Amino acid sequence: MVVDLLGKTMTLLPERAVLWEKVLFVADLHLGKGHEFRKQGLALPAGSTSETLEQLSRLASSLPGLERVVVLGDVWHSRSAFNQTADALVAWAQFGLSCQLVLIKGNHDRWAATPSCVEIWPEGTMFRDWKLFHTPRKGAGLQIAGHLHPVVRLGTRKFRERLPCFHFNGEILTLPSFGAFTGGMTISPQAGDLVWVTTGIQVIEIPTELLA
Amino acid sequence: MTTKNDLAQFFERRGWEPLPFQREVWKAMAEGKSGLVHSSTGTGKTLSVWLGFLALEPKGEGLKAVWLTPLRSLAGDTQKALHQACMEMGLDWRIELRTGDTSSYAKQKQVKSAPDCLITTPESLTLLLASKNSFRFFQGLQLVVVDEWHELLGSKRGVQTELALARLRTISKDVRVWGLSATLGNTQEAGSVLNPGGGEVIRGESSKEVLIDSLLPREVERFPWSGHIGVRMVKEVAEDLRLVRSSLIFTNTRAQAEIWYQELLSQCPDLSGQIALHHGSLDRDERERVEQGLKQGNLRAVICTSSLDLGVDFSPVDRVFQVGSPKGVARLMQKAGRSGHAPGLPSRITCVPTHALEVLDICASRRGAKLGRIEGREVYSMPFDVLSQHLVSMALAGGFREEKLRAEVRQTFTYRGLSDDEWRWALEFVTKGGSSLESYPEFHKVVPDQGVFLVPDRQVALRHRTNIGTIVSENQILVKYLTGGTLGTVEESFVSRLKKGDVFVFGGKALEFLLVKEHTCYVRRAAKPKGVVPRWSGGRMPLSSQLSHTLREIVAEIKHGIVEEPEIQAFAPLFALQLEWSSLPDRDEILVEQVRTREGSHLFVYPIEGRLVHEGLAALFATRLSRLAPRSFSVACNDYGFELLSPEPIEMSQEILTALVSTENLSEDILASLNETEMAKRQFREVARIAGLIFSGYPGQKKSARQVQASSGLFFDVFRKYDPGHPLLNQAQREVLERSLEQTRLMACLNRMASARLLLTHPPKPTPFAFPILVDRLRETIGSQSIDDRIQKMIADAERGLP
Repeated sequence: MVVDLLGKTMTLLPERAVLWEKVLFVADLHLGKGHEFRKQGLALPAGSTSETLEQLSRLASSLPGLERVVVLGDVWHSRSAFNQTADALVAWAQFGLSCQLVLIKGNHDRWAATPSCVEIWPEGTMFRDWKLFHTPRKGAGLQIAGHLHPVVRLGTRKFRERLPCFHFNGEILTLPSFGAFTGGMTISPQAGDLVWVTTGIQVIEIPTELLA
Repeated sequence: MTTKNDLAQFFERRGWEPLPFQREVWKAMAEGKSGLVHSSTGTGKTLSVWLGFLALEPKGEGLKAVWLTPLRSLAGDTQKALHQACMEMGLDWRIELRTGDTSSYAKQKQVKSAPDCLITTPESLTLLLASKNSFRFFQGLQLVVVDEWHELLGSKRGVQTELALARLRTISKDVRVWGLSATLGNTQEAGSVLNPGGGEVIRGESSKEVLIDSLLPREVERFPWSGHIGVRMVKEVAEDLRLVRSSLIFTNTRAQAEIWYQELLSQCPDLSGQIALHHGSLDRDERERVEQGLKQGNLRAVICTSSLDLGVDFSPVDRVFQVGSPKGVARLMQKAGRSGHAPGLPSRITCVPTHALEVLDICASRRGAKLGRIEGREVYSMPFDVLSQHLVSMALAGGFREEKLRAEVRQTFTYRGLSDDEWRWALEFVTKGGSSLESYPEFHKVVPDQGVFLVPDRQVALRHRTNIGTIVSENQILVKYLTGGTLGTVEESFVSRLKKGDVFVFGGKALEFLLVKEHTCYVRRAAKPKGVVPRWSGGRMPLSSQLSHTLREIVAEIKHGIVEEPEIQAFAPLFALQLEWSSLPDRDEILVEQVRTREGSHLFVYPIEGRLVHEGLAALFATRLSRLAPRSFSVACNDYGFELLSPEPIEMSQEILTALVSTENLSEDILASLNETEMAKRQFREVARIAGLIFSGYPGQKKSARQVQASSGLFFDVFRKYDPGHPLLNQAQREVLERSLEQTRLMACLNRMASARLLLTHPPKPTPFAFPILVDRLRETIGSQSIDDRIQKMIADAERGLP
């Protein structure tokens, strides 16, 4: 869905990403989360990390002329998740992705060492005249951020659904989490905010009055 | 020293005569047998077993007996009763409690110096067994009593208990196991589950009289034909409360308990301070205050849910009321047993219908009780989650060897048929994280070390210990005053719908919602007295199979005008109207009503088989009918029948009915029609929690180990995507079919309907039987719309101003 946010044209993609000119923004991959669980004795099937990367590859290669993929923080879930999957990410960034990978570090991976083939942008980096953050920063001006894994509950008498969403409150555009093994936090948007849910097939704008 | 004569003297001093069944128990115990004693409450089962044990003159240092109770609130009373008996027999025994409430200091002391008898819960017992000291601690054990066995049987707690008993039998060869139970439809099976190696099944005193009567509206004509009574009987109940010292008022749901408490207070303000509320969501301190008040006779009435139907000895209770349908004979008898809780005194329970049709349930339960048509408890089939948990617990108990533990587990009734493959799967699940084909090298929970399986990681061990048990409730949020003071818990889903300033009723108080922070919902007293009542999940128990059977008999009798029950006569005008507008089904008939209203074409079908079966049937009918002509139905159901609503006319004939109830392709059609994935996803929460995939902590407790927190829904999706053949997923699906859809009962019902005669009527408007289904607010649409279409429709409806 193409939206106009204060004069900027962006495309909200059902794959939980935002395309702005030739740059793709995603947030919160949480690579290695399954590994972390297994290490702590929780028998989870493997596969979520490679699926997350595959999905990102697929999405990036479906967008012709794409220059960069910017991950807005929480690429890795934890330290041991980083140790386990850092090499895989490097290999993927070199061979599995057709454009430059840019990371902004988040609260889960602030300490992570920087693989050489990956560009690192500090939090607050300007893109056009917007800023890029992992953790949304109130009052810091127009920005794109992640961190919150926003979802909304939709409900009528007949059905109930909880879906990941994009949320714009006039200042901050928060992205849904991209990782295959990530949960969500229910948000309560204020009147006047803009909310779009993604069903995986399409992005639909939801009037805030419909959100309890 | 005690002897047989002391037993006689014990009874003489109290002026009692030992009952024949008590002598029978003593004889069996003297012969070294195990067994099960079953009867209604308050008939002296506790004493029979305990005195029988004391008469054996058990010797030796350390722990001699374990008394298992399903409810920790029962533990204190049991301790008093057992202690008293010991004193009178001249035994200075240490009888101690060990439950979730026992301080860690007291627990350590118990391990160092074991008491003679320990009263504990299944969870605390497993926890004890999961320690390295367990062999030493239990080696001199001679008796295990499982109190209220009917409460545990047919639940995963029961399975956990079976596994614990198997371990105790391994540790101490001399141990005898005695169960105390209410009478069940499958008492023999209950005995075999408890003692798979064989044991006595002794019937306790059966002469206890149970009176089941009802409180009916005086002027039935003034009630609308819709039959809704609601809380209109509050005044009459209040009048009856004043006639006796103290009463219990049982409701079917916590929400109903809150509503009745509010209504009683608002209609009879003078009862303020004399009545109290008791349900499972209230803070434990508050519940204990209420229980204490009841025991001391300070309360005139307590409005409660099944939270109070277990065996606490509330001798002062004179009367028991049941608000709404009794749902089952066994449940009603159990509740009736709360009054006159002493040998010889009759039990009485007064049913208060909230809807006219519930008088049918009342009559059916009275007849069912008289004819001994009592429900059984369905036994679980080899739950893998409980077994996985047990394997980790046993690895913590100083480690296990594969063959020994496998043999021990197979000694239980539930796992007697465990195949080698199934065993291997469970073992691989805890050692490798999954089947050997795709094991995860980084996973190490239980690790074999020279043939002994151990838990080497202390973090894993600690986490397992805090999560032992099989009770899984929906995510609960603590309710607290901003100024301090805990009120209890409500479900997260309820709180998530509240906005700041909303008023809700909880624990009989109107509360204003302020904020949610760290799993705690902060509130303050609201200025206005009324608010919404939280709906807790659960409590939507279907009518039992036995009760529905009796109910169908009664309905057929009404048709032939041969019922003399006062309740039916009181509502005679209602049934006359039903017969005038439509009909009532005979025993070999199935009533179907076709009605047209402004909403469209309604089809009402009355199999009278309980809500869950009707949910399955409604979905099946909708799916199969929509195959004849593509369309969507709105469906609703209750314990008597279900409704399909469609804008277009629905055709019906004997042939169509036969096709609809065909058992061919049944599973596929049911799975296709119900949102079975969604149900399995919900069930998976319990399975994953017990198998140790999710650890829940307690309400109000700050979340620890943030790195490994995820919701069960997310787990479910990950499993389905990456390991779709996982046995835990299969188990969740099986449990949905068996427990949530009552598949066996559904099959029986379909067979009955296949040979039934169609009784098709076309009433001018919805009949007394149809109306309660029609106004049911919990409607579902069954069709093939995708989420996308539904959202678009929701937005379109909102724009047109529809609800």
